[in-house]
Amino acid sequence: MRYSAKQQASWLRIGVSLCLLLFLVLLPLPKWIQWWQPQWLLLGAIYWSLQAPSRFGVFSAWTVGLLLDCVTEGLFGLNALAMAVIAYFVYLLHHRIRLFPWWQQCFTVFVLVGLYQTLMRVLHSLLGDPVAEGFYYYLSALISGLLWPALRLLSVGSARKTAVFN
Amino acid sequence: MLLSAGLIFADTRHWLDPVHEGAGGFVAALYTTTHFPSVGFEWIQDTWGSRQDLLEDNRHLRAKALATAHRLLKLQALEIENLRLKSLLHVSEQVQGSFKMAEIIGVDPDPFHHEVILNLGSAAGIKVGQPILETHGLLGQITSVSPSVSRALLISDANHAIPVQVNRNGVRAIAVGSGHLDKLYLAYLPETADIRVNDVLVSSGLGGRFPFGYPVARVTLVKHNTGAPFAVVEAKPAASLGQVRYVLVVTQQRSIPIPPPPVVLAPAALAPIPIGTAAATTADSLPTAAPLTALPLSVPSRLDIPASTSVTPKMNNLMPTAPPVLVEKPKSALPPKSHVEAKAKLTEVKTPSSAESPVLNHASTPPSSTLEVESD
Repeated sequence: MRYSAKQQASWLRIGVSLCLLLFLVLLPLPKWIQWWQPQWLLLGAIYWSLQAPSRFGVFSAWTVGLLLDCVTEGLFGLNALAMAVIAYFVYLLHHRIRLFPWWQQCFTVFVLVGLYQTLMRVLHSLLGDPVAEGFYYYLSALISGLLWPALRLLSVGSARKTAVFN
Repeated sequence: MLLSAGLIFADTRHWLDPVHEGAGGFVAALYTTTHFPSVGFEWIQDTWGSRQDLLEDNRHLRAKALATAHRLLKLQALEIENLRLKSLLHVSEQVQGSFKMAEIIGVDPDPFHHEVILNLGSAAGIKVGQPILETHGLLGQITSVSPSVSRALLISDANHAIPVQVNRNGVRAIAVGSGHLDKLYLAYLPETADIRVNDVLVSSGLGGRFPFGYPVARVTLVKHNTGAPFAVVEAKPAASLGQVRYVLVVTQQRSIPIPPPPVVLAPAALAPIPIGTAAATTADSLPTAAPLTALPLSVPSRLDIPASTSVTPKMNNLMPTAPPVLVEKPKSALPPKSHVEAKAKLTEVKTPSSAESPVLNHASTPPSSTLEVESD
């Protein structure tokens, strides 16, 4: 029996995976480890907008960003804006990214997460908040890129080969 | 894009505060859920912990309690002495507080934001602005509250600043967070300020948010740059900001009056000992400075001291003898109305009573190398 793409990226699957990623975000870890933590929710958003661009688009990513804003109790809309921008880029490039070999995908994800973090930094400094200095701010982007193949786990249990990881 | 721009704009204008409050409950549920593993782990430890471990723990705690009780006894004597000296200084009230113990159930996911989530909220009487403490020192303050959880900003957050003073000599400064858990910066300290490595910084109580006298940090680096207006001073927070689990929230700070000194000695009859005569300023660098006498008289009437179990009502019983021969200088002896701004190297301030009481020392010590003496 074959599953259609729609079934594979059902809202249930998307919702559950994003909830799991949110719990990873909220794990109470020491601060120094947090610098090494990947941007879990952004990774999820990238994955789903690659996997099912017809379902999970810019607006969905925006909603996920808003959720992150709620959780961090920052200004509403900051993460949402940055996530929407990244989701838009992914939407533009999704045909190409799907064809990349895994290491090239990792690199693309690294660039996308780095772009997201740069955006957040620019937004924060525009609003007058203090921002972190130094390049270890981008450590998180690097780890996100390295962990990208692990997102294959999100398609666990579906019979069909994923569109993202070939 | 426009939507989020609109949201950001609306939020900077505080139009969305009710929405934030609504989201608070949801976020509280999330953090409680993520906290669950550690609760479960603790339960397993409690239930299956071996008898040997528990006995060991018990013995350890009993020894600790004994040591604490011993220190408490000494503290009581000190407190009475403190009160007596304060009443001599005409300090009219002292701050008493009550504490609530809270548990840290989450940390902010952003590594640059030093915020923690506590398991008590407005239902337990937590309010925005209340300071939180740990056994070794100040941790931070409450910044937002929902019914069941609250959020506290740590002193090391780059958005946080706390008024402090050097315990040794009362030099005041502002400790600004750096974004690193083990570092604070002291802002706007002049090159000539008397501050050294290993000086203990305590909260100064200025601003009324943090109570006076809690250890905040220890100075780790003092760097003087010739030509720069301010010295570069770094300090390490006294509290272990990254490791605590249980904290104290100071839920109530109310001022209670201290009665005036029981016996007033006639100042004219006795040889007046000037309290707080500051031999501080070097004469050559400050030729026009008026003598800095009788500073204690111009001390603000409200000094914050650590919250404590106060013994104020019984004070007269505890002071059977006449107070020591510390006599206020009469007001007429004050220097003429002058407003002196002295930028001078601060040396030790010698007051007759400085050896006996840190409070007096604090009161009579000029705040920093910029002195403002205003007499009335």
